Amino acid sequence: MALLQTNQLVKKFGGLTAVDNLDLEVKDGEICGLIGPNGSGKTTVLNVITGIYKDDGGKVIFDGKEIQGLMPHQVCEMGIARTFQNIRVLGSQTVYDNVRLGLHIRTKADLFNIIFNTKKVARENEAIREEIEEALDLVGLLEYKNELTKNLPYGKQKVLEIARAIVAKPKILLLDEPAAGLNTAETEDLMDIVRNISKRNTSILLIEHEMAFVEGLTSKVYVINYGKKIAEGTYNEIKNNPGVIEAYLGRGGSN
Amino acid sequence: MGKAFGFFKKNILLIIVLLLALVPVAGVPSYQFYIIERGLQNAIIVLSLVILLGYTGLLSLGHAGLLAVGAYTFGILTVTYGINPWIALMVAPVVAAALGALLGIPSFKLSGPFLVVTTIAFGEIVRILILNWEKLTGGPYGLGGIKSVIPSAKGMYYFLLVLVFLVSVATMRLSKSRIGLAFKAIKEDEVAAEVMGVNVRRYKLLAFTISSFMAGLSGALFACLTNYLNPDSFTFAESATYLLMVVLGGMANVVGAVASALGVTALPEVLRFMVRSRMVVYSLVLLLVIRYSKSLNMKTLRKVLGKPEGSTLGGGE
Amino acid sequence: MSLVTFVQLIIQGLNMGLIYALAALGISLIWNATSLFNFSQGDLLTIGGYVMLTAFSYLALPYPVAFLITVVVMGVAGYMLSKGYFYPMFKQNFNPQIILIGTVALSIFVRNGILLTWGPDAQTYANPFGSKAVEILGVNIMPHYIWNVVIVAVLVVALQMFLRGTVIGIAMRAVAQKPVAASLMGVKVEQMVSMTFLLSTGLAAISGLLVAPIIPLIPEMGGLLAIKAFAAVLIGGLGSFAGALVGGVIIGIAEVLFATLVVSTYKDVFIFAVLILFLLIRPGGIFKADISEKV
Repeated sequence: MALLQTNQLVKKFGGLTAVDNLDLEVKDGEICGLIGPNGSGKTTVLNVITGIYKDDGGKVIFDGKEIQGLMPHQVCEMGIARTFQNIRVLGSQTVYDNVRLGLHIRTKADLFNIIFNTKKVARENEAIREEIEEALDLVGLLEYKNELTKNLPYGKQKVLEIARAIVAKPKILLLDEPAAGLNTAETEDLMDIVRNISKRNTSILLIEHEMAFVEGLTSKVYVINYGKKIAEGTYNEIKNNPGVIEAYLGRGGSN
Repeated sequence: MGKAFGFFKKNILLIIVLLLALVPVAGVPSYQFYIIERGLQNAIIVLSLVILLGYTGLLSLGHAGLLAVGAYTFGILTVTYGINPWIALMVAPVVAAALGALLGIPSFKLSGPFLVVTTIAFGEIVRILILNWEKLTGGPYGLGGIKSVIPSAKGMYYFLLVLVFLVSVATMRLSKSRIGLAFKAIKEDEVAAEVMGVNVRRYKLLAFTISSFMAGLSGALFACLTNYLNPDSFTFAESATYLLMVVLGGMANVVGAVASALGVTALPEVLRFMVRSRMVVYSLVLLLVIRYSKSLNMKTLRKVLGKPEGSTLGGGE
Repeated sequence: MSLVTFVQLIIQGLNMGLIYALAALGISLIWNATSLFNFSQGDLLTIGGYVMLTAFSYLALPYPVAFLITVVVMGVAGYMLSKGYFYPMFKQNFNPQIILIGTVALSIFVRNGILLTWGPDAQTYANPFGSKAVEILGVNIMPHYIWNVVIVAVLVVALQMFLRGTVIGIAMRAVAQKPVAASLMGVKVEQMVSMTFLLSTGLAAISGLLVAPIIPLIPEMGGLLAIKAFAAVLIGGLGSFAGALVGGVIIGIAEVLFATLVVSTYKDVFIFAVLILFLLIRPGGIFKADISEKV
């Protein structure tokens, strides 16, 4: 069964069609790839799915419900979490607090309880501590939990963003170029992390330029160019697709 | 030594409050005593800006307007309608909070200077309405004969001290909570916040509402202390002064805010020997603090004032 | 109301409007160059008025000389303000909000500096253009109203020619549009930002010296004038040259008409309410400013 599906999705910027009648489908428990040359509209697809951009037509169906046009926080509450191509962590907060932000939708303490510091608040804080530490452990950041995030190197900030996303317990995780800027060792660690997340019954849709990464993880790949789907299939099926090669190398550049 | 310092750091708020509790015993002259009272009352509005600006990153230059709403609500209810001052003290912040929530609506769409100008316009609208609605407010002649909730000066002083302590503790708890974290996330990266499920509009509204409630409370206490209200006490310059107090206190630092409110309120009195130039000196000091906020050793300051509950003063983008 | 009265009101409104417009123009120039919204523009305007008072009234210099001295003194002050205060903060990547608060502190400093230097009483100087109304097509017009329009018109044309036709002007616009590229092309960004402050403060000074015959100088006059200039720049479109002019004139005329036709005590409330509504409905202003953020 399809968990996330886009149906004839359209997004325009002025006269430019960034996403053009796109159909995608991510099944329950699956890891899918979304690839395409630079500027082909991949990130725009994620931005439309997560409600940062408003769509200009078509549907986004998640878990049987139409979610296009929802606000980003509503999309998150539905069970979709994401990371960003240019990391968006809170630099002046601790690593621990960055992950704690991911638990926002799953914690309930209200103003009254907080101001009077009731037992409820203490219980909740205790309950989430374990979860935060487990997520930090999964991405290998547990020892940095009290560091200020801006003091972390780039690669660690990237996986911190993943830890923040998974504590929200999403049904699907959207990763926007998770391996970009990482060295080989970091990329391999990241593949393990993604596999582990997938094992926890979380579907994944990832955008990536690093083809070894896509090959090693995904069971299905969508290729888009100029916002249009030009191929879909397993990595091995699409890698020799002439349309895909042409899109990447440009017309007449296949020598 | 290190242990003693740790204890000092941890309980600095309590220590300040206990020291201040000794002031009436020490027999401070009544004018200086009044200045400390005003400093405590200012601390509450400065803490309201800690929440709005320090945590949530929303800059308001209209807080004098909210202070006015609280003060005039208290004054009008007690003087014109003869309502019990304790009830008025509870109603005034609620009225300010309701208006402040309205002021929060533009923050959904506007940020930076656009939002600041909106808050300035709000403050000016309040001031002009007070100035011209003579029947209700006394207009330029002011509103006099306001009685405090506690008639004795000493009693009022201790009441203010307890209130400042409670509001500080509540602000610190808020800072550490999931709501405080949502505020800080909005300040640092609104997109990241909303993608992680923070309803940005609701939380901005909440920040404005809490902040306005506190500003209104401070206003009602102002009325208690001065016993007389006049539109001149609620100008743009006052809003700017509160803003500068919060910057001086380290933006997101509760203890810093209280210390800064007390210090800056007393500063014109300390500089009394240069009656005419004290405001120039004072604003010059602030200009320099802002200019060198990055190079000042804020770490040392923080060691003394305790851990900040948010991002740093003058922290880069 | 007769047509003549109406025309007189429009002329009066146009005059205040042009003063707001000049201040607004200064705000827009600095915004373009540095993304800083200068909240002290109103007080810089006021100090311009007082420098003029000193030069023209106390020192009894001829009007054109006093005019020139005022603009030069204030322009240099603006240049130094940028070099010594604001530019170093840009360079050190300060949080923009902190720099913005710096302009608020500057506003308080300037206001109290004026109070200390020139005292709290309202002051004015003899109207250099005479106080005898001229009759044009049956409408009585004060001569300074005509002169103000002429001066502002000449100024706007000169400014446009400077920004578009001279090397410095083009470099300034380059810094405003693409600071990194401009600096790679060898444009001295610091010089150009400081030049922008010079121009902006000069413009503020001119609006200050033009306003004095219309309303007497008091140290805190910059506050209310500034809010009108803010309204002008936001309604016109922050960063737009034409927007500042159009916005200023709209505010000036609207406030005069509202004061005369509806109720004068609430004219400022009217302007601010319109501003807030305008920001909510069309936040970019008439000449749409780009306030979107790229994800």
